[in-house]
Amino acid sequence: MKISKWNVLATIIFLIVACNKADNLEDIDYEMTFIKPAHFPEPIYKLAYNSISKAQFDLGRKLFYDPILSRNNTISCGSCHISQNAFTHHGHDLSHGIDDQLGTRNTMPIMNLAWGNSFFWDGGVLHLDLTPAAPIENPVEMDEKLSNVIAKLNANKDYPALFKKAYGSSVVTSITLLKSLGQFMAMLVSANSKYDQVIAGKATFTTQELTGYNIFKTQCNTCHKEPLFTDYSYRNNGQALNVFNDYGRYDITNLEEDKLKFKVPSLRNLKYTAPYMHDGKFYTLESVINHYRFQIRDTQNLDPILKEKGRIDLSEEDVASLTAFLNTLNDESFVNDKHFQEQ
Amino acid sequence: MKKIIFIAAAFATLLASCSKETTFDTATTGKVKIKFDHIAHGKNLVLDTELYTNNSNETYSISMLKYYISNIKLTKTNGDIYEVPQNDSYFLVDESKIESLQPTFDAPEGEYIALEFNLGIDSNTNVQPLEGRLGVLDIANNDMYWSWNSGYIFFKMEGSSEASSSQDKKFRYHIGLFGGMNSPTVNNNKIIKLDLNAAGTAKVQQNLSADIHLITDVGTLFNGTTKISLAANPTVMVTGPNQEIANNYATMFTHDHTHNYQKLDE
Repeated sequence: MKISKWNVLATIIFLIVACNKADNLEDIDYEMTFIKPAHFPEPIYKLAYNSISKAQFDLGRKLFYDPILSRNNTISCGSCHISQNAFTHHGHDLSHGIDDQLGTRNTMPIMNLAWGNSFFWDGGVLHLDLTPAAPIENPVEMDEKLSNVIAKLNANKDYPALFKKAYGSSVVTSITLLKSLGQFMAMLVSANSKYDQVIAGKATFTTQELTGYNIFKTQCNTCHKEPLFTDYSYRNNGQALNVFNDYGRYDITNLEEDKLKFKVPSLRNLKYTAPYMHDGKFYTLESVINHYRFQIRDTQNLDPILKEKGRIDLSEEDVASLTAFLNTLNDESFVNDKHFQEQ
Repeated sequence: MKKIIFIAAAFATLLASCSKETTFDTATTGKVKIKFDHIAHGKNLVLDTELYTNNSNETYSISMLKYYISNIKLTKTNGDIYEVPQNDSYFLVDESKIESLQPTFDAPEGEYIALEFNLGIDSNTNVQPLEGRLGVLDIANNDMYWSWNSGYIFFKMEGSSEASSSQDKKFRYHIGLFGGMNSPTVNNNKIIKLDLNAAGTAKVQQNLSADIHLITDVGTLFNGTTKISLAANPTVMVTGPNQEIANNYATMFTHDHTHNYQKLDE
């Protein structure tokens, strides 16, 4: 068959159009299904029928990246939770929010939150759907009133129609607003690292990674429990009280036994989420490991495991192996997933 | 003579109707209204303009008074307890909103000798999912929710005083804390039980309202078991003497009287 000039041209035009279209996922059809990774436990957050409509997902993502949620329309959730950094504020020890004000804690990654039983470093919020209220109303983050966000969305030219499409009513309420954001965050599942592939039998560790995995299992797995690499507990891992007098979990419970305890963070995606710990004082993974090797402080409520050990005994070779293993927890497909990024 | 008989008959009828025992049909419901009448240290509460003096001799004005009541229960003469369906029994009493000062709900016909309610929001409601947070429980609309330490604020009183040690000479008491989800923590919910016998039982009848009138002296926040002073504690929220304040204000309600068989305003 002879291919005419026009045919080729038409194909090229079609391709260009298709490419342009595909750049914006709001314009193409796809289904968003929450898939529980086989080696993960049952999630705590339940999406209705394990899926959300495209309209709901698109709306949640649009809100996540929209600075309309902040007092002066400058800061969005995505400002500090950058998708390419596993939704952390890469390079910032403490997060800076509205008017460049600094908070006192390091932005936590948003990943696998459907398995979370409490949220933030101090566990102050108990439902994923309720988490957006905290940064929205925090004076140094978005400094806005929820009621005002809802008023702005209801007055917006686009949002009422989008809420109608997603939830059947064009009237934006706290429930539909927070549900949108909660569902979007629940969909941010990171379970496709090399480690996950090894567990699924689709890849194998190198000798060094395997050595590191065995070190991990004896030295780290109690708190950073597989496969989520956190046990969701609060622990004092031997850091001194910082300049903000941040007592962590104690600020929520006012229990002496909770002083200096913070949520055990997941070890997934460490490549993208530096700096580390609640105040972001560690800029490298090596410095974190050295903390456990040499710098544990015997402060109030030091975790009994660390108290007993005094320190985690690792040789330089062990450190190299452990680091190699930790690097298998990086999930490139997660941080590059266009579905999760600003459109 | 005829006239005398008529008058006698009229008296007899009146007497009969006075002594007649009201019969209640428990299958039907009537209305109950709790009327919250706020005072402070024995003086009628007026926001912003009036002055009050506590037992630390600190003079102050009140700009805001809001609190939740919930989980309302009524006890009948025979000891049976009627629990108002939970979703119908959350009320936010707000001195600045007249309509909020008379929480109204349905109850089966009958005579009730005790009123009980929770001053606050119970733990289960505090940890419920988003879907149930409607009306006065909407976390966006009432300024009665801590977003970072997720839980409802049960009681808010704010105002001004020269005695306040805060820079802006204001005082702010935001009392919440529901006991925690995992480890038991401070729980400032207060169950308020009021015996209605002395000042008048509540007789609930269809199409009518039994109005239980409570005189509520918010000055007890300062003048309770633990003396609270504006100089020492101008701001109390999740830290400071929040439990002491809650214990103090838990005694602020007095049943003053009940108006039975009140017509409903349509």
